[in-house]
Amino acid sequence: MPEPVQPLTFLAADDAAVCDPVTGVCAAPDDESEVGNDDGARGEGAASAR
Amino acid sequence: MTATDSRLEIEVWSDVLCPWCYIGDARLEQAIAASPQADRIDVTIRTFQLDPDFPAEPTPVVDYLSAKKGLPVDQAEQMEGQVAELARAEGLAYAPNHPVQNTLDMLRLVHLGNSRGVGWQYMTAMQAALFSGDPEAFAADTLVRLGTELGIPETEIRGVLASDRYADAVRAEHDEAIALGARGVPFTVLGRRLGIPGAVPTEAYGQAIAQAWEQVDA
Repeated sequence: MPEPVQPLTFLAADDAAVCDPVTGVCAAPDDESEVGNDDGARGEGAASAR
Repeated sequence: MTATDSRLEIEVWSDVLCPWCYIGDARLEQAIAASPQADRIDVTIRTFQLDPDFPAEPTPVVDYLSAKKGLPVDQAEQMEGQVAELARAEGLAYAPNHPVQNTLDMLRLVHLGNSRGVGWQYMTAMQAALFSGDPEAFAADTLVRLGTELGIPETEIRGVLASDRYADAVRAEHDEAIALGARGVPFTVLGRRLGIPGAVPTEAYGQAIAQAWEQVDA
């Protein structure tokens, strides 16, 4: 019998950057995307697709 | 068990081709190094294949982004440039037009690495090769070189590459992450109690480690 999965407590992480397997996009929160990004691209996030 | 011999296991689900895993791993390493209990923390890499449909041959990431996402090349280059800047801020090499390719073989080798206690190091070595723009990052000879540098026998590495060994383990760890609540990677679990979805600042990793220790020592 596999061990039952215990529910985790999740850290509140509004500033987390994650790669989404559904969309294929690796998006950053807006504050991180602002690094070196002064051309109005805020909202796009620093993103890549994987 | 006393407080002095208790240990904390940190598991990180990751894919080689995940820039946030690459960046998050570096931040997590910094946070662990700064922890007063650093010598009592065990880090285990878990695998999470982001996209089984990645091309079978190396493809420049900008070409891949524009083809898969329909992005103009200049926008894809801009996106990669932004991620590169964040990586470099962590002291990591990042070539904005690095190659992408299916990562299943790499992830199977990470499991081989875990069987020898060097899975984390194998994953980070693969990421460093790939994101630094090595055009041979996915080549068998490169994977053999990186593995043997960690003490894994070449015959074992080539044996895995010539088979489907650990493919089931890759799928099982993917399913386990989903069952734990992951919706992407990196996905970090501390002591099987506290989860961190995504890459967070080094300070946040440090706070999570401190919080997890409170539970270990409770």
